[in-house]
Amino acid sequence: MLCFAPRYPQAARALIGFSPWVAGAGLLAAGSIAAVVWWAVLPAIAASLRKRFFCRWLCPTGQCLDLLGEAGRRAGLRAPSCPRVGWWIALATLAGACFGYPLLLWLDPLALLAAPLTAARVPGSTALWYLLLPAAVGLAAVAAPGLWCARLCPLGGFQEFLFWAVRPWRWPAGQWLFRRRAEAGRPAAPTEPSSERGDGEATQHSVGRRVLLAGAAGAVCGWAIVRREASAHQAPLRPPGAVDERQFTGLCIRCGNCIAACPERILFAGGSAHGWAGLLAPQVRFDANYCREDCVRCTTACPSGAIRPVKKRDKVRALIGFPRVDMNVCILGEEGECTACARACPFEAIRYEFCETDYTTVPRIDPDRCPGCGACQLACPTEPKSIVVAAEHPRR
Amino acid sequence: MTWQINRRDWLRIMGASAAAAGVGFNPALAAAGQPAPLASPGEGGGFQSHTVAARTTMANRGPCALVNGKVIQPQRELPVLHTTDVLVVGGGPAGVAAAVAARRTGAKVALVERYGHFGGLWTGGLVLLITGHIVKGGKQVCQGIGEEMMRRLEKLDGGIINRRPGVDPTVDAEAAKYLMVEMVEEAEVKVFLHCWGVDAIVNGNDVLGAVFESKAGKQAVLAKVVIDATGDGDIFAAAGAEFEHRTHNIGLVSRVGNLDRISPPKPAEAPSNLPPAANSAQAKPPAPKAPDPLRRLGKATPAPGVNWVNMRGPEVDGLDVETLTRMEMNHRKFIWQNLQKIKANEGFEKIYLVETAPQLGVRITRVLLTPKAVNYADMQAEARLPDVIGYGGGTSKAWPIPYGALLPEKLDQLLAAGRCIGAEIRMADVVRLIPNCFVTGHAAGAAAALAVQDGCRPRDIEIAKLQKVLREQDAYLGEPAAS
Repeated sequence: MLCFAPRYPQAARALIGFSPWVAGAGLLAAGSIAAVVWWAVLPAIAASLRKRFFCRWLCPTGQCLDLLGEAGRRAGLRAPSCPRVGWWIALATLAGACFGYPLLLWLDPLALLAAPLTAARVPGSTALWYLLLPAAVGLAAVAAPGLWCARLCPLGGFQEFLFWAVRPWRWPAGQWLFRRRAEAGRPAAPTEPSSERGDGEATQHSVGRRVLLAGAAGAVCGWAIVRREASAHQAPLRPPGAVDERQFTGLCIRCGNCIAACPERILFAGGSAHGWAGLLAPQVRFDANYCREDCVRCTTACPSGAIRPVKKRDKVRALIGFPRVDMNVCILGEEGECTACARACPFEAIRYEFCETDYTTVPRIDPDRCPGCGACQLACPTEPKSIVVAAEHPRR
Repeated sequence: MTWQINRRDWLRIMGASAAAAGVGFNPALAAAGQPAPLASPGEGGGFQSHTVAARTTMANRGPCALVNGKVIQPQRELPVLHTTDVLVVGGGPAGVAAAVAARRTGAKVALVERYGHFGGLWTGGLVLLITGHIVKGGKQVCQGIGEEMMRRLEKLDGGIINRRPGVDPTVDAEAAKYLMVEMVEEAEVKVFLHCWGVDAIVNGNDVLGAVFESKAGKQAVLAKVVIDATGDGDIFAAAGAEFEHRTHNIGLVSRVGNLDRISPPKPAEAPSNLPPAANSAQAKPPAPKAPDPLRRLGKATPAPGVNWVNMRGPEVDGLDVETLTRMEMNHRKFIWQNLQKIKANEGFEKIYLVETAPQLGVRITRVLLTPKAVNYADMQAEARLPDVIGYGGGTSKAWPIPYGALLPEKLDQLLAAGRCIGAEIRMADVVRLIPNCFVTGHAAGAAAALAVQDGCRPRDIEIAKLQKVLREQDAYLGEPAAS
């Protein structure tokens, strides 16, 4: 699969669709679910029937890390003992997601694997950023074989939640209740394999303070982040259909799917210029192209719900930003002959208006027609551009 | 062998020359060898004005009558001033290119122009910037006669500046007028200036010529093919062709002088209504700010210290005479008053208004409805049209101009050229640019001449032949097919 992925970038895109953790947190936080994520229902069902079924039989990241871990084991390296951080991450993120901001969703193992696959299609040095986290996890797998899968992976932790979720009789509270019933003569769980009983006891101990604390911390953080004041940094342009900027940085798992899906190559992995929270999240730049009125590919590619699905006919409602005109750069400001922006506008949102007092013509942009596709900015012949799309939109 | 003169010979030659000159300049002596002038007995011979007819009435007239409160124009015969193969109405960039191209393709050509000079809005409108001939990447799509004009302007002192690849050059209006006289004379085009084309001569669907108003009254010119290069489509409208009537900005260009004598104030005092820094976040998108008035001092021209100042003006109907009148008067007031405001800035006291353009800057009025029109989709798709007769620019991509965009839907023996050809509004706004008028004019002229040659209707000419002729005349019809 790794060999095929660079050739078939859609393979990487499909990969993340199998993560029930991303699907679940996305559903909680954004209230919508992307088409690609419906695949996650299968591993979710599997994981609820057989514990960590996906981890053991399907997870490609696990396979890769296992191969790396094998090298570590041969070198005599052993994983240190470690609490089940994966549970905390999963629970904190889910709790945050309930308040709109899934804290650590970007630690999804499938996203970690997809990121380097899409890195090949990401221009310049940002590709290195995409490799950074996967490389760290890979190195850790050599140094501490099996640690990620067994203890750290939030998807693994989430699968265990799923397993317990359909077994209320094994909840700490339920156990007490169901045991009494079992004593009354009912078998507890006929399909349950006996070998897993040991884990069940571990659950009882571990689903205690620390996990609950993690959940509470996630909820508080998520609540605080979503309600924080707009950042001092001007928000960058996000892809059409992107959720609110305050949620976006949390929901985006940095898989690079949208960037790889964009046929116009206008999506780029963001730097830290707009704050560290948005690092590697997709940004729109209209340097070489604009967001086509008949394209919604990035919105269907997003597995986490950070970019909500948009229908083609609703493209005008998927806001990217709103153009601002600097009449001190605009050719019309010196009374030149230029109608490039109106000619390029696919939504026919720009018209020129004569201003009697200044005796000059200015471009006026209709907010109801303009989603900020950037066609005007691309067509603008001045340098620097006199019409530039900024993230604020009157309709937002 | 050397030829030498001594001092005495020199004096003798000078003396003889002086005597000859004296005879030549003395009207009394010069008149001795000539027939008597048409002077009436009472007039002295010193005036350069003579009676053509002592007491006369205008022969070519047909005054209107007021019948039951209605003004009625009587039916009458008009004198035919001229008969030709191709008649070009309008001597702007498109008309001159059409006349020269038709003549070079082998037809007899007459060119009729309303003003006393060629160049239309290019010269009379003072739109001195040649813009619209290049596309992104610097490729120049206006070749042929337009490129020839630019090249010949380079040879004239002070004729053109900024003539570099990928840059819009600016010309001197007088140099351009001079050059076009030269080119029209070289091509041996029959020219009628100060003639305003007012009507078409039509038989069924065929346009057979046009009628002109001048000081000599209405006169007709008959032709096998008529090219409407009036810009407003006056002839096709008069002939009954269907068109789209549009409004557009109408401005008035002016020229400002002494710009080389501006002593700019210190930076701290610089008049500034500069916008706030671009990165300052603002809650709501601000309405576009009015530009700095000092940006309205225009662009350099070949004349030192003189800028041409464009004006967009309000969007109005350029076919309405009251509107045109209002535009002229308002614009003139604004130009004068605005310049006074600019002069009030420190260091700008010496600038002055050189002139306002003789012609109002009407951009688009009538757009011919044609079977094919210049359209945005063709440009975006970089379509290779089978009947392409040229490419236009002023956009990021070159746009093909189909031959069909010059042909009215129903009328025959008539071609349109210049800003009034069939085009979507998005494209009409670049079709109207000067170099693109050169391109459509060139093609219309060549097509008209071919129709005359082959004795067919312009819509029936062989496109391949037209394309071949245009290529031979250095027009750009796209890159040759790769295969």
